[in-house]
Parts: sequence; C-alpha cells; structure tokens
Amino acid sequence: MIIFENVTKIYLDNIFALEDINFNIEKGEFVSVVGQSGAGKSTLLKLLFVEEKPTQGNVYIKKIKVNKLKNSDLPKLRRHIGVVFQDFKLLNKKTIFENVAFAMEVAGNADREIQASVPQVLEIVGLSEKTNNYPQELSGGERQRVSIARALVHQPEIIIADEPTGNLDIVNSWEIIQLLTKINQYGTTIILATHNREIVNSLNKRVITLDGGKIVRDQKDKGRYLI
Amino acid sequence: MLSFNKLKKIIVSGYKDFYRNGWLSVATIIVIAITLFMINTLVLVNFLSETVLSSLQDKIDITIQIKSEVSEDKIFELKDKLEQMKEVKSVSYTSQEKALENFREAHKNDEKFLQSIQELDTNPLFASLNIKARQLNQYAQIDRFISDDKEHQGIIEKVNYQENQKPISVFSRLIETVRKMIIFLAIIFSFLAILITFNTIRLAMYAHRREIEIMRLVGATSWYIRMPFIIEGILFGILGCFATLTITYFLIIIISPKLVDFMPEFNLALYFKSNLLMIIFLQLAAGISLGTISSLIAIRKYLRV
Repeated sequence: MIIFENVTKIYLDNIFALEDINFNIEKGEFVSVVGQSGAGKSTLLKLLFVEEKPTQGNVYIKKIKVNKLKNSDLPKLRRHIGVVFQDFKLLNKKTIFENVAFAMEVAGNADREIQASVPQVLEIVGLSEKTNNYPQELSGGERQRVSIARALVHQPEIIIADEPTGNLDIVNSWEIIQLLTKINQYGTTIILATHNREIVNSLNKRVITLDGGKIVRDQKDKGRYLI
Repeated sequence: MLSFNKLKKIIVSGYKDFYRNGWLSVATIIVIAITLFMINTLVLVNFLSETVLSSLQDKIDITIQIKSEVSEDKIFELKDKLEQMKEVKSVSYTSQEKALENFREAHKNDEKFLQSIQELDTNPLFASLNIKARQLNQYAQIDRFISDDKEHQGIIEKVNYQENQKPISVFSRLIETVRKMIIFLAIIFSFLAILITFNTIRLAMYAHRREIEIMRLVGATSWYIRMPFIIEGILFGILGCFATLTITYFLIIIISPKLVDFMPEFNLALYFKSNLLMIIFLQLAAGISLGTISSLIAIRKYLRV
C-alpha cells in the first residue's frame, strides 16, 4: 500500500535528512518508526502526506506516485490520510464538535453528512460528552483524542501519528495508543513515530528504526525499541 | 460546487477579518478611496477640458468673403477644393441673400439701421465661406493654402482669420499637463493602495496561520483557503469605492453651482447625474481590481497552498 523507493531527502543546506530509504507497508499494518531526534522520523512522515517532496526516489501510496502529484491534487490525497501531531493542532475558538466538523467543511461535505459523521467519530474516541466544550477545557489526552477524531472523520485508510504522546503523561499516552490500536483493528493502516520505549515494546508490532537518516533495522514482527 | 451556504461562510469569514483588523482596514480603504478619487478627478478634468476647448474651438474659424459679382458656380468650385483638404472639417456657404437676412435678424430692433439698408438698391453684404478645421493648429495651414491659391484669388474679397488660437493652444497644453500629472498621481496611488492592501491581507494571513495549516492538513483545496482573503480584498475595494462616491457627491454639490456661474455649459452635477452608472461601474471595477490584485499578490507570496 505504501512504498518508499530509494528515497533521499536533502534539505537546502545540504543536510541529509533521509538517505536511500526503501520499505513497503501493507494495508492494515501498524508500524512504529523510532529513532532519536533528528533521525529523520518527521521527514519520513512529511513525505507521506506530501508536506515535503523527496530529493531523489519516489513515494507511492496505493500505486500513486505522491511526490509527482500536482498541488491541486494534494487536497484529495490528504483526505485519505489522517494526521495526528504532538501539539494537537486544534482551533481554540471552536468547540470540539466544530473542530472535527471543520475537517469536513473544508473538504466540501454537506451539512447533513457533517451532522451525521462527527458524533460517530467523537463516540469512537470517547468524547461524546464533551462535544460543546472548547479545547482549553480538556486535558491533554482528551485534546489528542479530538485530533484523532478529526483525523478519522474522512474515514482515511492511513493514519499518520507524529509523536502523538509526546506531550502526555503515561496514563493518557496509553489511552491514545489503545485508541490507535482499536482504529488499526478496524483495518486502518497506522504509522506511528515515537520516542516511547515502553509503548513500542508493548505493541509487539513492526518497528522501523532510523538513525542518521538511514534505516538501521526493520523488524517485521514483535519489534523492539533498540537504540 | 460552491453552495450558497458555503459562499456565505466564506464571505462571513472575510468580513470578520475585516473588522478584526480595525484601523488597518480603515487605512486601507482610505488609500483605495484616494486612488479612486484620482480617477474621478481625471474624468472630471477630461470633461472640463473638453467642454472648455470645444466652446473655444467653436469661436475660431476662417471666413472668406466673396466679391459680389462672382457666380455661385465659382464659389462652389472653391468650396469643393477646400473641402478636399484633409485638415478641413467643414465649409459652410452663406449666400448674399442669406447674409442680408441674417443681418436683418441681428438688427431687427434697430429701425433706422434697417431702413437705411432698405434704401440701398444693391445688397451691400458679401457671400461668404466659413471654414472649420479639424484641429486648432491647422488654421494657419488652411489660411496659407487660401492665400497660395492663385486660381481663386480673384473672387476673394477678404479673408478673416482670427489669430486667437494662441491662448487656446496654451490652454490645451496646460490641460494636457494637468492630465498627465493626475495620471502620474493615480499610478502612484494605485501602487500605494496595492502595497497597503497587500500588507493588510498579509497580516490577516498571519492571524490565521494556524487555521490555514490545519486546513491544508485536512485537505482543504487551495481555493477554499484563498477565498476569504480575496473576499477581504474585494471588500476593501467596494468600501473604498463607496467612500469615494460619497466624497465626490458632496464635493459636486459644493462646487457645481459655482462652476455653473462661471461657465454655464459646464454643469458638473448634471454630468455626474447623467453618467452616474458609468462612474459607479468604473469605480467599482477599479476598486475591486485593486483589492483583488493585492490579495492575489499577498497570497502568492505568503500562502503556500
């Protein structure tokens, strides 16, 4: 489903962020990408939702060469990929409901669809009670669940999570990971970039380890956090 | 397709930005209004100069008086010849009888004068050809052509050529300079208007950078993201246009009566009234283009979507 083919990314000042990256991810996989800060995790994820383009090589999602997509085709691609960040990226002036609805609004969904889908995803992330609250009234874990709900609302086939537990305590971190595991069980492919050793080790899923922009280890099954 | 609801949302968000920026919005509108006012002044100066010039132009001509015993055939021969000159706009013929009639009409209140004419056996007046040139500076040329025309010199009694073209050409040159100055100012102010609107929109984008980032991530099309900013620019243009129209309206109310006293054919109020639609359209078009161009430049420069 996702293929990285000889991907190298060099930033303007000649820094190799990624060097000759090759891997495949099948539909429905749960892949953790680990590595120290600056190892290239974020760059790798950015190439997936085409925030950055590779200097060399190609990135395929469902056989589409996404690095060759025109700018006008990117919005469509991004509606098939849900993205979750460490800093949640919520709009503080909008309620929880509105924050999730926003993703559908900008994609041009009808009000009817929005009214139907938003409560559903809020139910999945366990925030049905808080639809009319504002982000600052929520805990960090709850905010992250809002951002996951927003990522889910387009029913994406892939969810990319860049350090989703980076700002959360242990309890909240586990809740988020459990939520991602649940979403993965419905068939959504999950790509998780993280620092968290316990989480990676307990997941028992595939682990790709990056170091200095290169893949140093790709454990297909029962991967461990080894750095 | 863009539904009415979505369009409303976009317009509302553009409008919100507009008043959130407060003074900056006001400053933007003022600069746009000044620019549009320059355009108004340009239209006005054009109208003024055309009115004044054409009224002056009407007063200048060349009149050839024809000797009494010359046959009309001969006169028409000269008339045809003159009409063939490309500098000549028109040649009108006044026969001796017509001249007398005109003369009587002009002095109909002067009994004695009329009587004295009645007593004459012959018509004392001359038939004449009245020549209008296409442009002011062509009269001298036509005058020279007539005096060089050996063939018809014999039938000409006298050529009247009023040399009052000098003040006219001075005036027309003055108007031309004023016009150029206003065009120059209008260009400068358009540039300023674009620059300031551009800056205002840029600030609006900065205020919305988080929203824009999220919009991109969740798959908003670039037009969806751009639209509110373009709407904001258009809004600046429209409001600038109405500000200008209001100012112009009051200025005309004040100035027009004074100008009419000074020069009756120059009725500014009437001119604006009869051309109101055209003027509004022109201003709106100019205002909206200024606003749109500035937002498009700002978007191009600062919005990577």
